[in-house]
Amino acid sequence: MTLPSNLTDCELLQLMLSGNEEAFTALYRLRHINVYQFALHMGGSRTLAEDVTQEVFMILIREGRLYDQSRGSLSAYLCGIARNLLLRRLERDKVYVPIAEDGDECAETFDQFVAEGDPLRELTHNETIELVRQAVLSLPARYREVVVLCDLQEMSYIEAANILGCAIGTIRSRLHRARSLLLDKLKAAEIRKSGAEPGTESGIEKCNTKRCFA
Amino acid sequence: MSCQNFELLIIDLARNQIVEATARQSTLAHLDTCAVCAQRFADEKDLTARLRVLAAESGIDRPSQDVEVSLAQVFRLMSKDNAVATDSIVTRRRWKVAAVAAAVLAVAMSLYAFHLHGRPSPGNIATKHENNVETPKKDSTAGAPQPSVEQNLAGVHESRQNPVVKHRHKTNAALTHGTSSTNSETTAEFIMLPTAGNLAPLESGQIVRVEVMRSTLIAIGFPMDAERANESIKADLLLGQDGVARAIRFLQ
Repeated sequence: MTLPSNLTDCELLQLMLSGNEEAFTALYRLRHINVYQFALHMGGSRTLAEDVTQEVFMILIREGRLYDQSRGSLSAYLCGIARNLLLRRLERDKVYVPIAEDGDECAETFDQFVAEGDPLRELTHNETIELVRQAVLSLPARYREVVVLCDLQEMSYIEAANILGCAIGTIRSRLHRARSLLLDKLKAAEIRKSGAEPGTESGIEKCNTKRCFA
Repeated sequence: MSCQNFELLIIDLARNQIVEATARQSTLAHLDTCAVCAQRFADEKDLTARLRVLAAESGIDRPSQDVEVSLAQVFRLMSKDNAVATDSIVTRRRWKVAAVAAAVLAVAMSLYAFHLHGRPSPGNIATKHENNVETPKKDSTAGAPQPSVEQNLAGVHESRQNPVVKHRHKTNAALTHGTSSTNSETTAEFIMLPTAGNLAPLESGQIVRVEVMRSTLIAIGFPMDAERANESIKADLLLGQDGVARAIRFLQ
């Protein structure tokens, strides 16, 4: 039996809870990217992101009946679960020092150097992406999650507030602070890259985002 | 617009969010007058562009197919378990419904039997009926008139002077004293209890229908057949205003 294509998340969830595997697959294909991307940007690791995605959908299979439509979208509900799992995992893994893995990670690194068009441009592009990624990953979790949701996943303030369980004003202020931190980090990284010491007078001047409160 | 007001809108503007038209115009006008805010706006726009590049770049990243496959397997397994669990729940529910129906039927039949025979199960001492002597009411089960306090007290005084048990069998139609709860019920007159002699005089009281073991009556001094000590007997107890039993009358 083929499912109609115009089913909503809730309808798919109901079908899934009644044992329809096709509905589960459809729901997974619709919503897993959000969850995976969120986990990837928050954790910075594909393995972790896959684990979290799998765990989120396992929870949906087991406890999908607990979802309350009136409290937000299913996507927000899943991201909320992912967030809780991630924060728990990150807290647990804080004591471990990451080491570079061989195999896939190496292949990934080499891939960066395989330029198809302009090699210099490609390299700069990859560097920029890596720089931003590292800057995002170095943010404190409460700021990182807002940047991931609002800037990287382009969610509205309301959706982000639903997922994080806080007020829209809190989202706005956190985003504001997070972006300031990001700008400072990116500038500092650029200075390091160009050879200037961040501790020097010119480095400090460049690192701090200027604001005028006239 | 001041720089502080500009600061409130800069993020939304840099992220190309919807901003009110007048606010947008005044904010953009502020950029022409304030070099610091203009530089900050440029930084924010640059950051937005970089974040978008990162989002686009990582947007093509997908979890491996294994995740979906393993989740589908788990789903299949759990659906089977759920189906089994649901079946057992349904079966259990059916048994519960049947048990409740049987219990209700049993209660209904025992009530019907009680109404037919007016006899509860032997061996229990159970309160059947209470009547306030001060405000005599009609017995709801029998419909026969309740004796007045004077009548009851007269019976007590009479038996106090002559403490011999006087059973007076009456038919329902010939009732002058006492209560009958069913058509076949006959009552005797009230007999003073041996323990009630030293109590305060009776001013008001209540009649309570009880079922007492004959052995209990033997214990408090009534002459009863010892061979039938295990049998119960229905009686009305006259309780005084202090709650202590003063007299008893037997029913058959």
